[in-house]
Amino acid sequence: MRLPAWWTAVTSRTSTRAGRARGRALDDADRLAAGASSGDPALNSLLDALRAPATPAESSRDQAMIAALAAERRRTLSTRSPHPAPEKNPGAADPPARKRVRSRTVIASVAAAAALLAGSGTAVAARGGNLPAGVQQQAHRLFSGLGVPAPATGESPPASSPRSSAGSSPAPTPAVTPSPVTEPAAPGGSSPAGSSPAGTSTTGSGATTVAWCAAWQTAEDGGHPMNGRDRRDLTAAAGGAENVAAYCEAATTTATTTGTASAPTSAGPSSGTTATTEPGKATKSKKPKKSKEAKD
Amino acid sequence: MPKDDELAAALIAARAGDERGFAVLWRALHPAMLRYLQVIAGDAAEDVASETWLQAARDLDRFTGDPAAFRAWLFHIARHRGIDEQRRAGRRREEPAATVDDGAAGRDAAAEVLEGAETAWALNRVAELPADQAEAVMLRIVAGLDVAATAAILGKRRGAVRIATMRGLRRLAADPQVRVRAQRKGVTA
Repeated sequence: MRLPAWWTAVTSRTSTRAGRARGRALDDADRLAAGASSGDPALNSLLDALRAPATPAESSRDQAMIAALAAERRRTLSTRSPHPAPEKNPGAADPPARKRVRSRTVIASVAAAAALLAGSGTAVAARGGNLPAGVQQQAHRLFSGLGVPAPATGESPPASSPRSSAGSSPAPTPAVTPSPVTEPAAPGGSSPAGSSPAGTSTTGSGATTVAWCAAWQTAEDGGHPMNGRDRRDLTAAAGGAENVAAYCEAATTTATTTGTASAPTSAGPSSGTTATTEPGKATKSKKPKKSKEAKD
Repeated sequence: MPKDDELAAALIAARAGDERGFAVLWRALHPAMLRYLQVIAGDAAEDVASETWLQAARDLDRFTGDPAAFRAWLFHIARHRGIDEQRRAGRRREEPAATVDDGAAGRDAAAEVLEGAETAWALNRVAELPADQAEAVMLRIVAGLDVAATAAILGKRRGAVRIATMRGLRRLAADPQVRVRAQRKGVTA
């Protein structure tokens, strides 16, 4: 980039009148930036507004976020090798609290995973008999009434996991098998409860809602904060932040009853499966569209 | 705004996972960060701010330094997160300030200050500046970072930061909406 003609003037400060003026203007700006008030009331009032103390809206989430940050910090400390923190206050991260937060997060993660499984991939896989034999046996024992077959012994595909079976099986297995199946177990990872539902990118399916609500509840309890996109979608689905609690309560109770029952009826595809069987859409849609919907 | 030694103590406490430490840091720095992010990431500011804080909470061992350095470090993270968000959303200036009314007539100023309408409006004016000026103004005037720290965060020379700040301020002072609003409030220049 070519430097402007006045550049040398600015740096040497004294060579020309224009240079001096420019230098003064820069100094003025520096003073303003340092908190001095300008000679211009209109500009002053704008700057005052910019620097005004936190507004109620800005501090509405303070408590929850502060708790979440401390929890996140303690979790990081507990998962990393014990070289942490200056040994100034050894008892600061008290073990019971840490344990509580962690187990809460794990519970929420497990709930989210279970909801996801019930709603989408695994249910379909189970119904098609595509799970590994042991799991299939379990699924059969639990859900034989709903048409989940026993593990096929002879002609079973060489599938060792639901994920690898997805590619080869002729059944309407979702092309995008929910990878979060394994993720939520990792305790220290980044936002297990929050991010897993985003992977399926469905809006409003029962399973997604339950997962959202699990993440939301975790955040409400001061645990891991909820993924922002999911929070937005959940708020939109509930019709406002103040309705989320009621919405989730309703969603969780219906999901536990209908979620398992409706999943296997793959003749009329549940919303969980439709989204995943259109790989193009399911993987691409992502954010811009959704955020527009949320605004409407 | 807490003093530097309070912030230093809060930093140590926060590093150990103490909630009170985070409370001090959050109250001292979050409003400015949120405002900065509103300018660079728009509607996503709150989410980006949360992500920034969480990352800071995780990476706190990697940070060493005084409160001023922490402030710079935090805004450094915020900027990267904000830019990521911009890329993700790809909608930085597609919806400009046209939607924001320039102050409903007849409402008293005190109430507006309380609700933050005045601040929201001011942020909107800054967001209308060219990006480099808007960032320089926000980091120096709202975040309270010095020229050196701002230059490091923006990856620019100090001179460029000073000039961007000056131009941004000039442009704001000349902004017709700024002038009109000031007149309406009775603060004539």
